[in-house]
Amino acid sequence: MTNKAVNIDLNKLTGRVFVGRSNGQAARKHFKLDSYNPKDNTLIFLVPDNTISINSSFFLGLFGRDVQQIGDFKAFFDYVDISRVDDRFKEQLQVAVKRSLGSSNYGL
Amino acid sequence: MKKLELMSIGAIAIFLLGASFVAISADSPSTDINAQQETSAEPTDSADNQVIGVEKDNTSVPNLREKSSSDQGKQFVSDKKSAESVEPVGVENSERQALEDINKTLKFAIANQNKESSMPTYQKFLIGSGFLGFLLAVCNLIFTFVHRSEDKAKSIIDDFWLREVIIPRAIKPIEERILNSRFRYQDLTSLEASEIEELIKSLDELRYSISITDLISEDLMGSLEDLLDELSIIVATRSMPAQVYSADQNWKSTKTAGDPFFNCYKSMLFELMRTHKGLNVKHLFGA
Repeated sequence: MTNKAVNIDLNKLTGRVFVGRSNGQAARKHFKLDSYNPKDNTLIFLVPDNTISINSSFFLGLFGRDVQQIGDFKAFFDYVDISRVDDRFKEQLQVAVKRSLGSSNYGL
Repeated sequence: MKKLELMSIGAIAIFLLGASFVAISADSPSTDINAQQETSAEPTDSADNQVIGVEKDNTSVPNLREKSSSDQGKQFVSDKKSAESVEPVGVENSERQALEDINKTLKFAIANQNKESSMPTYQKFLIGSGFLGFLLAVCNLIFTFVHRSEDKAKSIIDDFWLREVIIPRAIKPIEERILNSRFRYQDLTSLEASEIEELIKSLDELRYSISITDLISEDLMGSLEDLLDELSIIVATRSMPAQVYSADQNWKSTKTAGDPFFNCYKSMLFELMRTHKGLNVKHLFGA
């Protein structure tokens, strides 16, 4: 059984600068990401060529809940396919996910 | 913190109990005497008989003095009563005189006995003060012990790890990337797309540099990230207002005044200060 692919295309949003966690969370609502899951779907993340910038906060606002639910770097990127994203953003997004998985409060 | 509070309450309770004990014990001799006198004031037939017996038997005064003070009190009062009751019967003057003498001697003996048994006031005061002093010394020891463990925790966590290691490692990159940013002195309305991308990437790298503050508080890191997001949005909005994706359209008009770099730096320092001030270093030791 193959997963159903869903395009998450930033071209559907207005603008070329995607920054801020709150804006990422708003985009998550826009794309209704809560209605998908790793068992049944694969999300294909598409970034237009004319995009100026995406920061890690926006990406984590968009996919942070999935990162925490899946809890694994490789499994997450199996669910969210960023292979079609420009290399100048790809590494940045991967580092953001790694940092999100590693963050912890030591209770000081 | 709870341990300290419990110990404090315990020490105060001990102090109060000790003080009340001392106060009660200081008052008790006089109360006893009163009780004795009150008891002895009650007229009893047996006491009357006893005194009359004393008079008739001509019992000597020294023998009476050997009896307890309560007995003597009873005898004294009953002697008075017996003397009064005997008068109408027609006792002779010499016998009456003898009875009065015995009464006087008994009074004197009882007064001396009370003086000997009651403790002088200054002695009570000294004993009370000594007891309270001892209690205070014990309390002082407890407080010293508790404060010493607190100071040790503060010395290790606060004085070394926070002040020497974590906070400087957070503040230095903030200064370099925000306060000394080359974009700070440029006209933000004329930045090119590549410059905006460079700035946002630089602020993302700063995010990783200061993520050591996760050790102190996850809330602190969240607040600092929000401030970096705010700076990114402000700069991009000034340069290309139509190109910034924003879920809140009102946001753009309210937060774009002044020097956004300095405001961000100031706010980040404020967050660090606030977190450091409210930090409970004892928490680490599970106290």
